[in-house]
Amino acid sequence: MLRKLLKYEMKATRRVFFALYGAMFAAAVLMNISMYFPYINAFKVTTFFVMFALFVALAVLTLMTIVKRFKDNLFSDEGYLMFTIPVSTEKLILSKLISALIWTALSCIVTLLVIFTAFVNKEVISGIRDFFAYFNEMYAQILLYIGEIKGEHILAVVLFLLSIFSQYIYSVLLIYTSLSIGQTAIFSKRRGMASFGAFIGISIVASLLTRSVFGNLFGSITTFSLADIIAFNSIFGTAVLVNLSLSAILFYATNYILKYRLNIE
Amino acid sequence: MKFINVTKSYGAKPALKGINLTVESGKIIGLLGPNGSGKTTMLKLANGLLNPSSGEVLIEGQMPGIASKSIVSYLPEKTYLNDWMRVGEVLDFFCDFYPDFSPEKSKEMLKSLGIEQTDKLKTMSKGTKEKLQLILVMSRKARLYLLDEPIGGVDPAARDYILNTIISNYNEDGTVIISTHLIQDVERIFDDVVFLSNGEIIICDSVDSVREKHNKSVDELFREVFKC
Repeated sequence: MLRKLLKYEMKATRRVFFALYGAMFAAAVLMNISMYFPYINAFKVTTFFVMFALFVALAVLTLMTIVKRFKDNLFSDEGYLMFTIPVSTEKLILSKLISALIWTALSCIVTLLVIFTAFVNKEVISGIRDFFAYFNEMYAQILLYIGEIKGEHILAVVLFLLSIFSQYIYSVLLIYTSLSIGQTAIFSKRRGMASFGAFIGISIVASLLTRSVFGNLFGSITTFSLADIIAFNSIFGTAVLVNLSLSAILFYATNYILKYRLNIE
Repeated sequence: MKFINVTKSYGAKPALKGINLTVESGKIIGLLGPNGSGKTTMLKLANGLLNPSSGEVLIEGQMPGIASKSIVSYLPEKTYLNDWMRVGEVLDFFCDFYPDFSPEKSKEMLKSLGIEQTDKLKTMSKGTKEKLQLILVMSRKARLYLLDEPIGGVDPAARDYILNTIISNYNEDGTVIISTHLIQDVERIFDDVVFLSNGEIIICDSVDSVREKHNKSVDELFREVFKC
């Protein structure tokens, strides 16, 4: 059932994302061409601003999709369908979360490709070639700095990436929980305010909790160097654990509301 | 379907005050009452779209949940379909999520009401959307159909078709509960009627016995009971 939900979730969101991706690539190609006409300044400036506006649009679209797909699909008239299909509320939340993660990841990849498309020319390509040519040299430099690559170093990279990923999941679930709390408001006009209040309130509580966990565990560490791999790993490992615990709490809070406190108009 | 001492209030405002109701299977029941009497609230409770403030709602002995949702076919008074879909995609959606949905049946009904599978929902009128929703809901082989104002927004000519659809499509041991205040049009298909007034059941009887006791049609009785 989760796969089917995800299928419709992606179907509902893909048109606007793909359209924006297309526009971004088109703007990138134009921007690239504009580099060959340095004497037409207006062309260069215009494409630059269009490109910039499209990046802002992508960020806004991603955020709006996260909010609107949850709010409109579940708490507006469409909710009458979504909550009467024989699917668990856990799966409803998961389908929204997973599709948000897929679009975010895809948008990151598209952003990199668009930047590459916008700036690629002979020099950039030879620069990239040089980078790979010197990679061995750089690698040797890194080894010189940290001694040798050990399990801890690989773990450090993994934990660093996981901390960003878990932070993102937490943020999305924070939005879901706030929207869910908002819809329990009896007067529909107050739902927006209630959601906003819940968002601020949960953020404050979560940051206090995070601070006390870190204060208790790492109170003595005031500074640490990147070379101190064990301190780095324990701090980022804790961050991942804290983010995942907070995410789990938010997930089950949202699920509880959808199951027992649903109040769609 | 069973309501045991169910109350529901929105904040301080009570919508249902101690509803007790047992609905036997195989019948078509009219849930009748003026606007704001609690009809929609009762149907939403039976679907798990709301939770009772106190008391219990049971569908085949179970609280509303995944199991009940797969045997209940619900037509809300809202148009709940996505704007971006075409009719064919909506049929796929129902096929995907309801194992008891019959696409053949719905295609046949779509044809007789002149709705094409390639039609976009965005360009449909409200009445056409309501017809489509009713077709979807009646194309399931459900145990319990809960229809909230199924004929409210459609023209009188389509009403007859819809009522015939309801009678001919529900399966023999299935139950149909229709909430409406357009009694005259629907009266002929009811077995039992439930009168709801200000969140309380005031009459719960078979249509024959209503006619016998009061020597009136259900519509006339309704007009008398709820006279303003």
